[in-house]
Amino acid sequence: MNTIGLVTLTKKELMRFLRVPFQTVGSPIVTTLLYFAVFGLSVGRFVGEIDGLSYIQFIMPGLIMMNLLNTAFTGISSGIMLSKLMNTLSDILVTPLSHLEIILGFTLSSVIRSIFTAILIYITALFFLPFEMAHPLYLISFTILVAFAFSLFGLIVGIWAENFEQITIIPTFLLMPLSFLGGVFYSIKMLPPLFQQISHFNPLLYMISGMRYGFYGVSDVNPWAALGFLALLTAALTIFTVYLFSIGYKIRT
Amino acid sequence: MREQPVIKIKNLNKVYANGFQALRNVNLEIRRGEIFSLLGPNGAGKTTLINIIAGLSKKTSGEALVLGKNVEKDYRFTRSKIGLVQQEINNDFFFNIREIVKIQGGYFGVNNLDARVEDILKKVSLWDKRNQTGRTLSGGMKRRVMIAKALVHDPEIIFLDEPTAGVDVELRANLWNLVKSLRDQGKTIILTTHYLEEAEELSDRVAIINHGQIVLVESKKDLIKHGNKLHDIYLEVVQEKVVVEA
Repeated sequence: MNTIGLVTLTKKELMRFLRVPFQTVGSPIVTTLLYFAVFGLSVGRFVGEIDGLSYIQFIMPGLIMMNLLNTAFTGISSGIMLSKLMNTLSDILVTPLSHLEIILGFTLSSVIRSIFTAILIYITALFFLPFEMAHPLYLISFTILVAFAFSLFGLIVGIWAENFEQITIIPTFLLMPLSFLGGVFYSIKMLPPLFQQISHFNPLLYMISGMRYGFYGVSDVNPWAALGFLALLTAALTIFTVYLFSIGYKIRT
Repeated sequence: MREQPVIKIKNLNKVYANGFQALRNVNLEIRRGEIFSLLGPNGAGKTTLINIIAGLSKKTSGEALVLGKNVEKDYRFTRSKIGLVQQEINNDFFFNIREIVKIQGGYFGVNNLDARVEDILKKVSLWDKRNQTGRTLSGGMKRRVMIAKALVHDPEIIFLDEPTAGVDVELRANLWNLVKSLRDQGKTIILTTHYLEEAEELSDRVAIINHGQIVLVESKKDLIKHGNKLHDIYLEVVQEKVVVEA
């Protein structure tokens, strides 16, 4: 195993992230603060409690989840895209790093980046909320799995995409709508029965509910089913990414 | 006993996804410590051949061996022996020159690189610019960063894919001196160039590739022994398209 190579790639991707802190860290924190201010503090006063939680408590896990998966997806996909545009990906491909080490290097750095941002957002949220963590072990493992899954998803899209336009399609037209429809701002129990049923086909419902379970012990779905679904998704994405690298899809001509 | 070639290519073919056949049954041997020039018109297959050996492209059929090892099965070994200076400038603009070279060494699994990076950057006259990012450098300096990246892990075989394209006369002379000094250190150098005077100045042997086929492999001495000019031989050969084996 080329451990030094793996560590170098991971560190390099983390350094790249820290070279543009306003874009990578500042922007998600400001956006989340706005959500807290608009939805939590003003609109929330009229909504009342959901599942025994104040509205600002209720939306906090979903907002963290939205940021976690967006940072995981966007950081890695744009990193790969930039490497392709600058042709620096070839600097990695000519080295003795294996496919798995390249995938791990990119993914690990993305997992660290997204969890770091999520922690910062949680710290920001503590200005509005009391500290509470009902199931810390569940929360940690769930967060790591989500970060892994969406980093792998971002890696796949980054390899597939020919330009930044294609990359932005996913967060704008898939992640954002699915997050909003997955119960960030409401419990699906508030929906008519038909829409409750439809919501169960939204994978982000499981992620947002899982995060809420980790923080407050309440969830719209079975939290262990959510964890199992996530583990399966991560495994499938790992296998698919390794396959893409092994055939050299769009990276080794 | 004849020494094993550092690079051996056997019946190598490459057909791209769009159906374009870039290499046709290429056979070639490159010897240790020589400067081997690979000449040919644009699209002849020079870069494809280099990319397959270096690990950037996948072959369709045939075999490429580096120091007796298969470039796909034993890629960790073969890639650690190769340094590649690509045709296209590709320095990461998030990092300064020192970081770029150090990161590249790290990918190859080399540790404690500070002294090595300093040595390489001094060799290519970039130590004074070490804290500048790639974007702020001139074209020639960017090219030298790429050479530093290719040398940082101390490879035995160095591919220079049109290293002097678009650089001024002074830098070209410096690069020629660098190439010669690398050869004197026992490195094997494979050079592609469109400047035939460059190939004539530097090469021990010359190969010409055209339409994906090797059409000539000869020592430079033999090629120009009767007062022939490499330029004339090149033009004659690329028009004839006779297939030979190394």
